[in-house]
Amino acid sequence: LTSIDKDLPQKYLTKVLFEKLGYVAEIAVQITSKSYKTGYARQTYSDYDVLGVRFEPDLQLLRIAAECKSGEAKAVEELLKLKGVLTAFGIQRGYLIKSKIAQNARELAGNVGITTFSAAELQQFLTTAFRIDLDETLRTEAAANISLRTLDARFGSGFEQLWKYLRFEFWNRECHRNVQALLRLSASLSKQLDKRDSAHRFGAMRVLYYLSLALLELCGKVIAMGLSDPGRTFSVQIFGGARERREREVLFDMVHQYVPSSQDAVFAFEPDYMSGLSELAMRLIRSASDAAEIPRFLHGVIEEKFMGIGDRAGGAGTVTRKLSQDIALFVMKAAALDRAIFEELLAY
Amino acid sequence: MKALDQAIALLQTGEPHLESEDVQSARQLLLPGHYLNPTATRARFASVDPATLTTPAVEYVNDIIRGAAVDFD
Repeated sequence: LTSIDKDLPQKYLTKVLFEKLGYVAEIAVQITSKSYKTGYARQTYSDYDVLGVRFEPDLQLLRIAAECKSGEAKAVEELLKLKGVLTAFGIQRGYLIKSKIAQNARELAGNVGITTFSAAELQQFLTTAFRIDLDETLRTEAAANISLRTLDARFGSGFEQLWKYLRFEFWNRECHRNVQALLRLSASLSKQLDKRDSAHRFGAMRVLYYLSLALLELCGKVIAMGLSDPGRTFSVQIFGGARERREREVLFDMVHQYVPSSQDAVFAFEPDYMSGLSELAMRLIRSASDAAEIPRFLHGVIEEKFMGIGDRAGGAGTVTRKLSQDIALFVMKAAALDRAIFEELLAY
Repeated sequence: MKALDQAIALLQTGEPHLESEDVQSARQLLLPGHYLNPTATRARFASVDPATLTTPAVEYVNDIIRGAAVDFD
């Protein structure tokens, strides 16, 4: 995403469309994978111009994605590429947004379940269905995007590993790995985070937002797979399922048998925060319909407090706010973070 | 007999049979110094000091086993 990106206005309007449909939307999400070529390295497959996520009231994750193009040609090729990406990565719905879309592409889009909007159609739909002031919206989104990039770059310069994880890894990993990795990375940064630096507080809030996505997806698996004994189901799913947990247990037993712990750190299969994490997950599951709104609330707080978009989080319910703060309080304890790092959220 | 099988395979297909694990194992056993019987192995292990790890190393091993390690990414 650069300042000369001709597709940016369409991406902004598509982001707004996704938000109006109830999703939290993000622009320019990388699709990557790791593979062995000459060595173990990250490969970029493609990207989502706009990715939208939301949770059903039973915490099942829904994802939608859009391809936004300013040109008028090659609609069929772009449509088929988008369909491939949606299928390969399990995205539920797709949108193709172009300046103009040929009729043959529209016919094909209908057959493969992709919604098409020309630029004019998208603008008209946003104006009539949601009464959106397009000029004002574009100005607001452009300014917010600049704020986002500026804060993100400042945060990334100080916390490169965490920044890379959020940018390149998060959307390409299973939720249980994301939960553990984000908590581990947060803990490793606790002494460097400066509560007086807005970029640091912004970064911490972004971590909290992504952690909430991963944790809610994990809770959705618990609801879908084992609600009669959610604690046990969670303790299995946090390691990726029964077989993966068992393999890790066996590996742990072998290592523990032959290598003694050091004076200050001990081998432990479950991290110290596991009981707190499990208790937090049970709370989210018990209040699933309110918990489903947490990502939208947290993203709203980030947009409102750090990106200058007014009143994005105010509509959240009391339980949603409370649960969001519970996640922050848990992270503060698990990662030994200063309470002030989440002051914008805790004061909400 | 096995040599004859290999010769026939070579003549028929141009490739020898892949060697079985038994042959590989036997070859290892015949090498001098590579094989200790169980009693000798236990005695040898008992005399080896267990490894010790630093705190970061222990934490890293924990991370790898739990699936939380990201350093090697």
